[in-house]
Amino acid sequence: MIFNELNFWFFYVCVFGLYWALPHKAQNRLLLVASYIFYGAWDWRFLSLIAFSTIVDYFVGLQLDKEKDAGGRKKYLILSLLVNLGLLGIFKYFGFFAENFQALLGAIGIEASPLTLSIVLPVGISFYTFQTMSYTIDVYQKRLKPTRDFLDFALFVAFFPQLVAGPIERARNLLPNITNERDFAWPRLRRGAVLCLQGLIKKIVIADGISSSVEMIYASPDPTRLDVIFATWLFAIQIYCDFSGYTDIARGVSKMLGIELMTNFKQPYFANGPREFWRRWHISLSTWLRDYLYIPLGGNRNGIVKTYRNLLFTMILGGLWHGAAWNFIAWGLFHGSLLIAGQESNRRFKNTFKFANQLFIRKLTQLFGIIVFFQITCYGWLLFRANSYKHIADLTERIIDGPAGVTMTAPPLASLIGIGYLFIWDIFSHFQKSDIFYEKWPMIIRAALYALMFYLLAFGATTSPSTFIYFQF
Amino acid sequence: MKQTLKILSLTILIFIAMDVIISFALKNFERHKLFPSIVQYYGFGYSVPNKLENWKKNQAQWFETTLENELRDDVLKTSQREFLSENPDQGPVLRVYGMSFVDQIIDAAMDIRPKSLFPNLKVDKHSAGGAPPNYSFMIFNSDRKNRRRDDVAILGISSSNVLAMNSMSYSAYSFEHPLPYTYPIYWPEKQGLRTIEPLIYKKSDIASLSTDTSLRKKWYDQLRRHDEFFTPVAFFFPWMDASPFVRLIRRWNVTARFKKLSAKGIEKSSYPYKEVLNEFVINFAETARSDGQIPIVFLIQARPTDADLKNLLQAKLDSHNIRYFSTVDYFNPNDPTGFIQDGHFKKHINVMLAENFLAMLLQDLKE
Repeated sequence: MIFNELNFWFFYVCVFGLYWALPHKAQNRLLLVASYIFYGAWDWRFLSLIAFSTIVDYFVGLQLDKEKDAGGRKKYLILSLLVNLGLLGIFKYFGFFAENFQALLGAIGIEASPLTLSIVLPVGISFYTFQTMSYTIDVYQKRLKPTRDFLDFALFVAFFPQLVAGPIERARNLLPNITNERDFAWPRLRRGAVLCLQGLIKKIVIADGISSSVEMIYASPDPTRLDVIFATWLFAIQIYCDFSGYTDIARGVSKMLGIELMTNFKQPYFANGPREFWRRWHISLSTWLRDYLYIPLGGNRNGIVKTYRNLLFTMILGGLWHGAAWNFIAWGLFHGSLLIAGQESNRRFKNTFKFANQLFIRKLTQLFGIIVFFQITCYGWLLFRANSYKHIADLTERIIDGPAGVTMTAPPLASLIGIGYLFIWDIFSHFQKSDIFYEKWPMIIRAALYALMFYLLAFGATTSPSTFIYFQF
Repeated sequence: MKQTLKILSLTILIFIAMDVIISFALKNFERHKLFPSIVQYYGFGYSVPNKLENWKKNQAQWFETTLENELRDDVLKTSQREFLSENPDQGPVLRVYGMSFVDQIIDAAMDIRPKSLFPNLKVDKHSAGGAPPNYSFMIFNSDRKNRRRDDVAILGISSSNVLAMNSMSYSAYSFEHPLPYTYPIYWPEKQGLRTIEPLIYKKSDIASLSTDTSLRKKWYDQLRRHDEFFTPVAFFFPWMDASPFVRLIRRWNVTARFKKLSAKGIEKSSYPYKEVLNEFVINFAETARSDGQIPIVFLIQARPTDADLKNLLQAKLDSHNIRYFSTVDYFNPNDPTGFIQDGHFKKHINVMLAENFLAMLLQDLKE
């Protein structure tokens, strides 16, 4: 059951209708049951993992509150981290490390028998384990009181709109949304519906529409220089629309239920540097990594060398979070290096570009920065999308000195219209600094916008529907 | 609430107005031959009965010929007529049972063949657009009387249409281009294959479908029972095609279902694709050999692909000593430079494949 399938919307309409007819506590129980049905529709066996993680973190939370001794509290924290990271380690990284360890032994002349386990990756495991870990760490650091209601806590872990691909919610935001009573509000329903519509356009019309052009070039044995460049640009758009489309729908669906999820994307390709990019891209993960990894490692408090070390380490782990493969590590390393290069150039050339204070020149350099940084980001996406180091090397070589011409098939017309539409939408959101900029418009214009969005969705809906890219993480 | 209802009503009104304007614009585009790709895009969403009606009205000649060349009973009539007019002393004849991919390679082979090596080589093709393996296998078996000893029998299998083996009409399988030819579904049994025959096999049956409601009902019932790809939305409520929006939604619904079925792939399907395909090639070779003909299986690995044909069939082909020509041995289907827009091989690829096929054929004829 995924957001771009009709059966999800039948399921949602049933849940929605029943939900608003029930009192608060019953609403929460209904959402919990709905969440387990939603997740169980993929593979009911993996519900046991969610239940296990929920039970452990619920009791650890209560014990952390009860325990006064620092050593004892630390032990409970370690227990929670071991369980959650252990689940991730077994289901996500075991095969990768076993394979590489075996290769390493082979390289130094020790032959190890292959230890291969066929382990299926449970959908969304990286998202919900990070979410529950944030809860335990917050309780440990006394930034949050543990929740006493087990079923409310279970809903915090399994809340279906964001369970499989985020945003990775913080307990400080989501738990009060769950424990406090919620009122039905028409404006919220409208905004939620627009978010869902926007997310579906991003996913179905744009991301699914352009996916075959990207796939064709990344699978091709002999792409041209322009093929690689165009396919990588398109992949940058595809992954943005796929992932932010999912988030939009998750936020929209929750909003209609009276639950506010955090913003996960803020026009990331309008960033003109690495630091700004990470304030706009997958915000729930980047802030998680900042708060629970980078700052505990020392952040920028212990001098430049240690700051850069912490940055690099955090970003490599951020890359590895996406999957057990070397190209994700390379992607993390690439972004870590960009962040270091960005900070270093800021430090060294802070006063060099004084002339940039003039408004016009500042705007021009910003625009130039956006265009240049988009190309750099795209190279990062090439590392992310390629199948192996050999593939990365081959595609890089082709960008520099590949054959001429274009063999890639053009994306469907609907996707191209969708990209144009999204660009205009993002420009409005960016300059008006609001997601709901359209609410200020006259009613007739708003109605025309909604009708147009709906028609665009139908126009592009015939492209190949597929699952969301971030489900695999 | 009042405001939300107001916006909702206004949105619906504007939406309906947009649909009417688009419908009007599309009619004008069609009349003045403007923006053909947009017209075609919306045209893909017509229901199957309306698509057939449109073809009958606008491309009558092509439609008539297509039906004659693809529906089994009409194909056999033509095949017999042509067979009887052949000179039996000249040959050998390549009897081809496949689809356009195979036809194009064979045509290229005929163009480039050295006349001294193949002085009397003739071709007799029986193909349908996008034909699945069960169509080719059915025509091969039904056409048995129209082959001679020493002929070369070619069975073409394309990786793009393997999934259609669990369907009985191309109009149910391919919503966007629903050629109405039909074929049986084969299921494996202890001894060979069990056949589920479709009700429709003739051009005249297709014509009757639009007027004979009882035949239509029986046909749809049969499709519903046996054809995995039959989607009622593709066939019913043709009057709703007046709305371009409905056409878009119809197409979305049908293609989404198709995509879901094809995403499952042949491995996860309940239909035993591999087993039936292997039965096809063994059965084909046995029949051809018992009639004194040379059997050759063509494995066309194209894009998009349902199956890795060589991987599925090689073991049985080798163990039964059946000659096969697999395109993947000469051309990597992941290379987009080898395909034209509609998914067929480019001319130079067909020529390259034809050269290799001729080399193989020469060896076979010598043996």
